Amino acid sequence: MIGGHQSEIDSTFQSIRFLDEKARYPVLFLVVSGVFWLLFGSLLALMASVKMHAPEFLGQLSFLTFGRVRPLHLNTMVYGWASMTGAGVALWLLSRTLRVAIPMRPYIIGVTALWNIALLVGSVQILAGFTRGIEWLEFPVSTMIVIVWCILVIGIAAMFMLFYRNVKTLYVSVWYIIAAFLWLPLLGGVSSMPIFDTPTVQAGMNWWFAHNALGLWFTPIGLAAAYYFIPKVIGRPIYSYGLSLLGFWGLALFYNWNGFHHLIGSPLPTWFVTISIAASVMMIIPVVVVAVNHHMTVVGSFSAVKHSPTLRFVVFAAMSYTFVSLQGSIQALRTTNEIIHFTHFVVAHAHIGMYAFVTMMLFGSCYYILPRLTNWEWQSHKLIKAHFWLSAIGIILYTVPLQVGGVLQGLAMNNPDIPFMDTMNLTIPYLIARSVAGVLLTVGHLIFAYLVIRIVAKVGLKPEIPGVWSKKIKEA
Amino acid sequence: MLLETSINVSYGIWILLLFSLLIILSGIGLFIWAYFSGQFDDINKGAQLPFNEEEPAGEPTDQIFKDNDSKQKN
Repeated sequence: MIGGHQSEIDSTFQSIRFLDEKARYPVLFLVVSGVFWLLFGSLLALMASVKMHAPEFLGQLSFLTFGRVRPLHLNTMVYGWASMTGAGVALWLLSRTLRVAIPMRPYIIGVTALWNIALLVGSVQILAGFTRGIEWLEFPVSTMIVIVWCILVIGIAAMFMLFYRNVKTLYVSVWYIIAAFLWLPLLGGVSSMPIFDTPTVQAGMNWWFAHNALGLWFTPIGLAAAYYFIPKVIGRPIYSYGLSLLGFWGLALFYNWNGFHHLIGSPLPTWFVTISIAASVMMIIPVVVVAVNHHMTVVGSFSAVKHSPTLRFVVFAAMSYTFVSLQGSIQALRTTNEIIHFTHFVVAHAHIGMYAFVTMMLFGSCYYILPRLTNWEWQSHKLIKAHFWLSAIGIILYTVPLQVGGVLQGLAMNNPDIPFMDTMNLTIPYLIARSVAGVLLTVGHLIFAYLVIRIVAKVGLKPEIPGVWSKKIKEA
Repeated sequence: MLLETSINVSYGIWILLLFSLLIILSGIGLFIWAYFSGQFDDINKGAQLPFNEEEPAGEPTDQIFKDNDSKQKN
């Protein structure tokens, strides 16, 4: 017990079996909801992707036009799949690292249900044409406020866990998660204020929110998972705890200025954008710190990566974080931005962040957490491996051609001798490659959803002892 | 009209700057709290926190592909 407050938890009730039992329903509800939105969002993504090179595809139905399908894909993935699953993973990690049961469980289940309803209402609103028209914020404000409020309630539960924790020292994952739950409601609240009414300021607010939602909500949860699962799976402490803390405060100090580099060349004051470019470059410090720490922890234990489904996804995600962050710092420079701005390169970059890093991290986390919550085994090792390779190959096939095509597109757009239609035609092969990659990713999602349904519903033969547990726990 | 827009741009930018500073201040606030609550007193201890008597360091977990891979080799 910390802070002189009463706690119902004593050492008997700090066992991981007890903590997982208490975490079961709220975390499973968040994860299963997230998986539903992952499938829905994938379907929308495929439609939007095909429309980029075959515009007549489903073009007769107004509610399935590109301007509605694409924003809905984005919003369901961000606020449905990634946020819901991320919140579930964050709560489970807090329970484990703070040695305290998740509190407010009925409230968390209630707000998760409300969150799903808000997403459903928001989806109908966007398909019907009611949208704010601001990227990452297409849901109408009323819907967005409900979603932010749901995250806020879950954040309050996280604060209670911090307050009633049974350990004195906080692990680095806790710093990241607590900060994420502080920052996201702030971002959501500010972006919903009716004061950003001129186009220029609205664009500024747009990128302030969107970039920070990735960097101050999804990134902290993703890094918290990496800092927990990498040492946990290989059975060795993190290489340098001091470096891990330096990485956290580096993110807290430098990240939130980054978004305005998307507005180079806009009517925003030059000094304003320049601060953003400087901050983007300074992000190299915490990113390299995290990369060195993760790499040095894994060195010598690569067989553990091969044998663990969790670590396969987590290590892929951690490497992608380093890559996408360093790429982001380079993209923020004016000379680079001159070429890639308004091209498919940026779309691919966003997918390295949200998929190769965040989504792969969440997949890996689920493969570790769900057997412990359900006391059940994953149905098929082969299907897990198939999911990994479909996701890994799919996202590489998505991003590499699209970034190559994006650079060519940018060079062509900067050349006044090349007609605009020629530039558009130039991108078509790369857009087709993206659709093929989208099919691979969606098949992977279907496999993952099948595995999640099987383990949550406990279909099949009950395993004597789940193989994911360590030897010591099996004996207990 | 142009003047009015210019004022709005400045106003909106200062609002964003204010909240950006608030985020940084929250990070600094967490740091100060961490320092004074003794979080940095024994920095090496932090690395051991994911492990406990039930799942101690030195024992890999989640190695569910190991049995399959061993069988395939044999």
